[in-house]
Amino acid sequence: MDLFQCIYYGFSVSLELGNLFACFMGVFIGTLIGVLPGLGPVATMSILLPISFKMSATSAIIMMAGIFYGAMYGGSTTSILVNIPGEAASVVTCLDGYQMARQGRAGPALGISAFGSFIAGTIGVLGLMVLAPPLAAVALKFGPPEIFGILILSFTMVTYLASGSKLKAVAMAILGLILGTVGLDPIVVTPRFAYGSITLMDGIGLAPLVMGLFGVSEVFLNIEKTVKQEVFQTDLKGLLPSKQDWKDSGKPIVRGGLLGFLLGILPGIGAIIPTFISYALEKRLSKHPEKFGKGTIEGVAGPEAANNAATAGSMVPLLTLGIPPNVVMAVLMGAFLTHGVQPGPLLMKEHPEIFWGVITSMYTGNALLLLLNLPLIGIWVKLLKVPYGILFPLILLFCLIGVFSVAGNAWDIVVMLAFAVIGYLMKKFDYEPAPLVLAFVLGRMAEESIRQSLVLSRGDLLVFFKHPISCVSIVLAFILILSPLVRDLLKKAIGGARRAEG
Amino acid sequence: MKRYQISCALFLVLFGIFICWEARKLDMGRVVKPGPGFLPFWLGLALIIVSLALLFNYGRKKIDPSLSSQDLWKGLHWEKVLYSLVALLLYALFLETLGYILATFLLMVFFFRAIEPQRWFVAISGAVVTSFITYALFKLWLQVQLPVGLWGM
Repeated sequence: MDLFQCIYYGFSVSLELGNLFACFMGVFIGTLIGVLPGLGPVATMSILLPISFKMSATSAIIMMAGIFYGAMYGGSTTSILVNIPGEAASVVTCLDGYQMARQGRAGPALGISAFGSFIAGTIGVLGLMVLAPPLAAVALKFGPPEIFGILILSFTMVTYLASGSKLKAVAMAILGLILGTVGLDPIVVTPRFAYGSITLMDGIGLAPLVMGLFGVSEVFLNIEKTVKQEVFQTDLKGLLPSKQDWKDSGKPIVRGGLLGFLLGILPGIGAIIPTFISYALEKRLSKHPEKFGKGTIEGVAGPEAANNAATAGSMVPLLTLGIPPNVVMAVLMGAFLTHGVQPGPLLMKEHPEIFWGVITSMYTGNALLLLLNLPLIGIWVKLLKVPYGILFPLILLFCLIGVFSVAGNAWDIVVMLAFAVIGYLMKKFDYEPAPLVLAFVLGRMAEESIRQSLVLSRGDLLVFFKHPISCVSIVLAFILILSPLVRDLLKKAIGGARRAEG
Repeated sequence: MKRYQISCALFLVLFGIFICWEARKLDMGRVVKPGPGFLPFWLGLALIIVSLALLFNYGRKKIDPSLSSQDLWKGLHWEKVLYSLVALLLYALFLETLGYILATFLLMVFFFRAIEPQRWFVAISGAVVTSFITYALFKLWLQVQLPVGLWGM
């Protein structure tokens, strides 16, 4: 099949009524949780994991992906109207978006972030379509040593790009790896760290881990301080940006889209860092950088485009290599695995309906979001007025239902609560959860690949340097660790990201 | 603040020692043919080293400047977190005896009333509505398994 046939086939899958409905539900729920502070895409996707058992694998993945990019849309709404980012990826949007709202230009700000997201989403999806097939073809030739090399590079980048202390990030990554060894040994099936508990024998589940660290702990942090929100009273008429607005934000959208997509592919980046880089880039390229932070539309358009395109970019390593580059993709990988589908180079051959269906659904989803967002912004704003005292019990209840229904095991709730406490303390002591979760997921893959490599090479430790791809990856990882020069340069580029990401 | 950071790093050191200790009980294998205890042992050791490096940094007073020196729990209602945690634990322990609807009703009343106080009427009716609607949504419509409890609810 050539690319156009594939795309046609993809649309024929994603436009099926059931899949279209799943896509709609995904982007709808995504926007909803993007608007609501305190519940992000990671926790939401894990909550919905058990519900997706009843759906087909294609519908389930389409819905999950929709939640991710839908949340990017929703997050910008609160940034602009309330100056509270609904999502971490919308932090930058506050800078100029809220200022625009204060100047009575909330409409164009919301409008341009919706249109910008749509355009950038398109760029991202196109990039994914073009890039994924050849990458998957290359990845087909990968053996355990190559996978191990890429995993090492991923680990390094994840801790390298973590906000705050690098040492703490490394400690958290190691902790994640240790947590990943709980349960049955992958090769000789001896129980490790199970202490006779059947719940632990199965290994720590991704759902209780993620929901504890990202869902419940977030609620804990919110209820101890009294959350007060004021929605900015503004005229929401005239959402369509003017001709001048388009002229100002056209290029930033395209640049943000390309930047977001390319950066999103890299491990450890996610959707947050591209927004900061895009903002910095637009400020530098602008003829009037002094207007940034005072309500200039480029400052909204660029970053909003970047975070949307990054969601498509981060699908690339998962769909082609089977390696999730960030926490959201790790949860998405969980959704693949619960349906008995292994994401990776074989996905395109074995499950073309999922591969092309999901990719094209992202395009459909972006169109749905545009339709959903522009007329419904008024409703989302009303949602912001629901007091947290009503909201947080519901968030907790959804986490409880979600984690219980994975295996019908009440002890999983206890595991989730344990991680909620750990996550709460981690936030207090300024430790980041993202390296822990990624290491937890990648750890099993790494252990398998290292042990398989050693078996295949009959115990030759140099096997990782005899295969070019693993050798290059490992050398790159070392360069990354050792070169303080690169570190300083990167630090400058993502200076803002370090503070606000946490 | 520094005290907290140090105790945190110390805890990580101890945890690393614990992991190494436990991993020794498993089959370690050799470098060329690692057993189940191999990776945990080295990970535990790595954790000890990294946490010691953290401690060493604190010793040289290299603390993140972004961290405030204030007490982390100052002016916050941390007791709400404690109450919620206990309530959630009790929920987990009694969920299968009480059944979903009753357990959820009790939990919701507690949350609506005790953490961010609503009026009794709001709390009770909110709890009734929440437990029945989620039951209908998840159990009846989405056919997610929820515990029925002793009274078949």
